[in-house]
Amino acid sequence: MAEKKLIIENVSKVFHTPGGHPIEALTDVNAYVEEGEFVTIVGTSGCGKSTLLRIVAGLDAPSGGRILLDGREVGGPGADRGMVFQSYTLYEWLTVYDNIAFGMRLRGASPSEIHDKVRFLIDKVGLAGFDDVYPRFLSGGMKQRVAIARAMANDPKILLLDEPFGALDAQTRTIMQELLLQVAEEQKITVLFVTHDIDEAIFLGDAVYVMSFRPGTIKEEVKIDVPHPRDHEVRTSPFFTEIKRRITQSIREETLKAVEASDASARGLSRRGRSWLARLFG
Amino acid sequence: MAVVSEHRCESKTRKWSDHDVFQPKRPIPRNLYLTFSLTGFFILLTAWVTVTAAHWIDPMFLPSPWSILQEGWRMAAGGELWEHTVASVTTILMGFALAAVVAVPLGILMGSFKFVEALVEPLGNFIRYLPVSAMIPLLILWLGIGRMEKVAVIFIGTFFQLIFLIADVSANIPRDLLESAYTLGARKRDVVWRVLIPAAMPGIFDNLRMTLGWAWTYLIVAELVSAQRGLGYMILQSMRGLNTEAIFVGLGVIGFLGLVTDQSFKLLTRVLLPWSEKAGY
Repeated sequence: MAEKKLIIENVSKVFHTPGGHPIEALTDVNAYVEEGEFVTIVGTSGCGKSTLLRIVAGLDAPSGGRILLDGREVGGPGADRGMVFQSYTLYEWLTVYDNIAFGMRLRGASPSEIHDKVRFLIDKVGLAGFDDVYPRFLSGGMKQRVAIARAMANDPKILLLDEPFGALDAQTRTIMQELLLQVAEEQKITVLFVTHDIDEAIFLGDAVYVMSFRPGTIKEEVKIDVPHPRDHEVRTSPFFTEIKRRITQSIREETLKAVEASDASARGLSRRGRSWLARLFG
Repeated sequence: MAVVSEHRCESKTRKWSDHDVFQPKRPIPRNLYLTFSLTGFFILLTAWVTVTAAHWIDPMFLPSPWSILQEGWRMAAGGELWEHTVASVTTILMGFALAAVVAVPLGILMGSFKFVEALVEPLGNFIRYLPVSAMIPLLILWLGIGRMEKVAVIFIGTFFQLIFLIADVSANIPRDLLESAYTLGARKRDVVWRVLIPAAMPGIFDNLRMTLGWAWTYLIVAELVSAQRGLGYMILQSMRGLNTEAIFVGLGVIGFLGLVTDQSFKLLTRVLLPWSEKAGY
């Protein structure tokens, strides 16, 4: 068995809202990612999957439990856990080249090392010729490719992605999934990828963790025994469809819970009545 | 089926013309836009020329555009217009530069660190709501009626607005942008210098441009109250001498300078921040 690169051990997270009840976002989450493995976490919106990823990145502290990377406990954020966000986080004042070089410059890499690495990554993510372009001229898909290259330039031990293709149109999204998978297969990087898109989770993942809704915890783990390299044909294979059917069923139960919870909270709010200002405007 | 779809195509929805100017928010061709802009000026000018040429209004209250141009030319040739303009512009630049130099860093700190916000905000808000014009008597008492007093008026008028505007800009930098830097190995100091400050630059430029416009108002008020030179002083003297043409010349020069500074700021944004959306093109 391969070595466990990342271990999520009994992680819990409680949010204290001002005046309200504390919200148990995560309870007893246990998961792991093996060296070179591509693991996806799928869950309905509000299930705490992004919170979990932020805890792994060190951007939020867990209320309980711990994160182990190569056996060492993770404290704050660091370059060993590169992260790609759903929102576009490119530095608008830096060109594509300089965005990708950002992390390497911070740690004082030599110019020739930076040059080789950045050139290599720009080619890998299919942006040759865009070195000197500012982010505002790039499409959403191109921006996320730069963000992936930027996170990879630090040679992180694990790459964390939080719904990175969530804002892209359906067609671009599938192309981006294929590109990410190809890069991950070639570079043998370890990846933890969070999404609400079941197709995406199965297509990319060697293992899929399904999360429950409030309290968020791992509901089931599904191994995806589809060999690499995978191509888009996989999406329509009987095996894929069968797994998708199963996970869809599992997530659906959680989504119904989520809808019920949001209905209840909306009722709570509506009971407070309309403000005098709203009445004034009809 | 074919019949049905044909019928649909011929449905009674009215076709929209390409240049329907009465459709809300519909863009119109550039030439048409320009024509309307010029028409606006033309209507005003025609009305002006008409009422003055027909002597419907005493020229002492509203002189003709032509006599204003003549007066402007005379004042420019005599050197007095230049002297007053230089005096006003110099004072504005001094007061505004001083305000910007202090307000930009302080505003960034305020927007980024809660303790600085707590330190400055309540005090700043108190002073911000005091009209600067109310402080002019006090400033005259302290600094006299020379240039220092005007610089102080502009400083107080713009500084306390600027720090809040800039604090807002830096507080609104998306959190993800700063956090992505941490996951790339940045320390707190790197995040401030390499992410927060560059990201805030376009917003800062925008607010400086706006505030510079207000600085003109404060200066003219200060010059109207007490001065020995400057455009506000020139306007006041012209009123006393019943030289209405000169009042209009003063107003025209101020408007023109405003236009020039606004355009220079836009040009500066384009040169210094070519990466920003605000640089256009």
